[in-house]
Amino acid sequence: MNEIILETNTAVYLLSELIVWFMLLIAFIVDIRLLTRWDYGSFDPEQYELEKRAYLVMTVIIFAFAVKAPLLPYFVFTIDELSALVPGAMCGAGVISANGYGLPLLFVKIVTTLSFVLWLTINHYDLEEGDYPWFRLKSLLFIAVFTLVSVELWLDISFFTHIDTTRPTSCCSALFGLLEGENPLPFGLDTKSLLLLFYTLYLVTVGSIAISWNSMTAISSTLFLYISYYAVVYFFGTYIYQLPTHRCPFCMMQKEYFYVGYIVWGTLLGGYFGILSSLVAETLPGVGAERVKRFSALLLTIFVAVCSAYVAYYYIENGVLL
Amino acid sequence: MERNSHNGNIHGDDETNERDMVVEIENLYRRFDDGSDTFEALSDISLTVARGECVILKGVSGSGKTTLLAIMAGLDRPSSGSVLVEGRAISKLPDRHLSRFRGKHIGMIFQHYNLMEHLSVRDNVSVPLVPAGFSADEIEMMVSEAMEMANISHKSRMEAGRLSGGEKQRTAIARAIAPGPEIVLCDEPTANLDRANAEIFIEILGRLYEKGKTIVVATHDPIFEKLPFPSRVVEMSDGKITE
Repeated sequence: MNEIILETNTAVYLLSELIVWFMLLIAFIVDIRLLTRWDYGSFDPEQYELEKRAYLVMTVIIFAFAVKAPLLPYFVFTIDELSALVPGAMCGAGVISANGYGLPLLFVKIVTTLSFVLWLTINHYDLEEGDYPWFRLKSLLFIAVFTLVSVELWLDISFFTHIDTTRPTSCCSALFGLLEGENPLPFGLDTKSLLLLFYTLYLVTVGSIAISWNSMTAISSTLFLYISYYAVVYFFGTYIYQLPTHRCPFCMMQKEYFYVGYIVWGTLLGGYFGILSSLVAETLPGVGAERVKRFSALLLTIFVAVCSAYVAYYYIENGVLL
Repeated sequence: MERNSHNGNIHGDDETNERDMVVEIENLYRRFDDGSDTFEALSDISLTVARGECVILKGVSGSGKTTLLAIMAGLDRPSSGSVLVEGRAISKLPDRHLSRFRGKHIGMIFQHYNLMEHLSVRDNVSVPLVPAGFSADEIEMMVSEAMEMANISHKSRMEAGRLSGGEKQRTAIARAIAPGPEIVLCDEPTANLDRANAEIFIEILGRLYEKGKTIVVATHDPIFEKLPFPSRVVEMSDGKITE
């Protein structure tokens, strides 16, 4: 365990997460008081004091997110660097699978990031109004955010302290490789159907955003996220690696592949989070989030373009597909 | 709002109730904590100012006039009590809303002018208009009108640092009125002026009064006791309204 914890990136990462958690702990303690005593219509000394503290809490949360946002790609970078210490691991995929905490940790990280984005969105529109109409909603949401951050920190510490550098783990070819006859794709899809679904869902998502059909946007974007994972790992990734048997969501974040994985996953998750947060914001009375939706559509377009470009480039260079 | 002898209203309840109130302050307190002691700068202030009225907050140094004016301008927040300006509870507005509100509705003239010495008169007057979203042509027009009103157009290109005290004060007036605010607040405006310049300031104030601006002046200068236009004097002492 020691060599894992003392590895520079791990130490920096865990220390940063701890500091962020501590800042949010302070915000959480103040937030509880705000939630129980808040009465915007009052002109009492206590309410004025609460309003000052509310501003402090918002500032702390926004700052914490500003620090936490780059910690997600930094986590991926860190576990990728640790693959040199973990036997059998060729990339972050192997390290994540080194113990039972890895995958839940990754999942909680993504959910925590999404919850932060939701909080920031509601906070933005709450401040725009001038009389804090959604103060209680965002205070309650922050309780959920802090709970997730606390669980994440516990999983972070558990994960890194339980990586056994004497026990081999599986590499991505074992994790994502295919046994003969096996079909890892959902719904029994083949590659052609997967791609058809991929591009169709993309067009439906972008089209529904253009005509403000929110319910369709919610459904199609969620399905698109799900299908995109498989499309990237089992199709587009092979063109990034230019190897039909190399299927891995992590390797594309390495230097050899020009860190393109950060763009691929960043635009996909960023686009989806943006869509989700804008749809949630538009459930608030009088709120329109067209710009956020359009920006999210742009992110998804970049995602699709980057993935497609690798296929096109391979075909142009070699005259065949993998 | 209950009327009492300390609410700074000498017009009588019926007359006041019929008028459009621009400023409504109720049970205002402002306390300063320095750790061991609490100093009450304002104590149970209730005050209304009608649209187009000129109110003189009169009192010696330390009576709370400047603190009250700063709270009216949204530059400070009360410890308790309500402050409504143009019907908005400005003491409760978040900072970004307060800045926008102040830029649109309130013009402030400070005792020490607070000009940017290295900028010209014209540029100083333009400063509040730039973030307000006006076009270049609109800014040009508003700046020219304001400088004309404040009688400082002839010095428009001069650096503010090279102006005399009276000219600086007139530049400050032009800057305060350029965005067309309904309310003009003046904090000890003649404190650094000689008699002649003070009278010029009063003359400009009169023009603003004729244009229907609501004016509140915090001062201990006796020149404001005999203004050439109607005004109401509110006496303050030790953080309270006494008359």
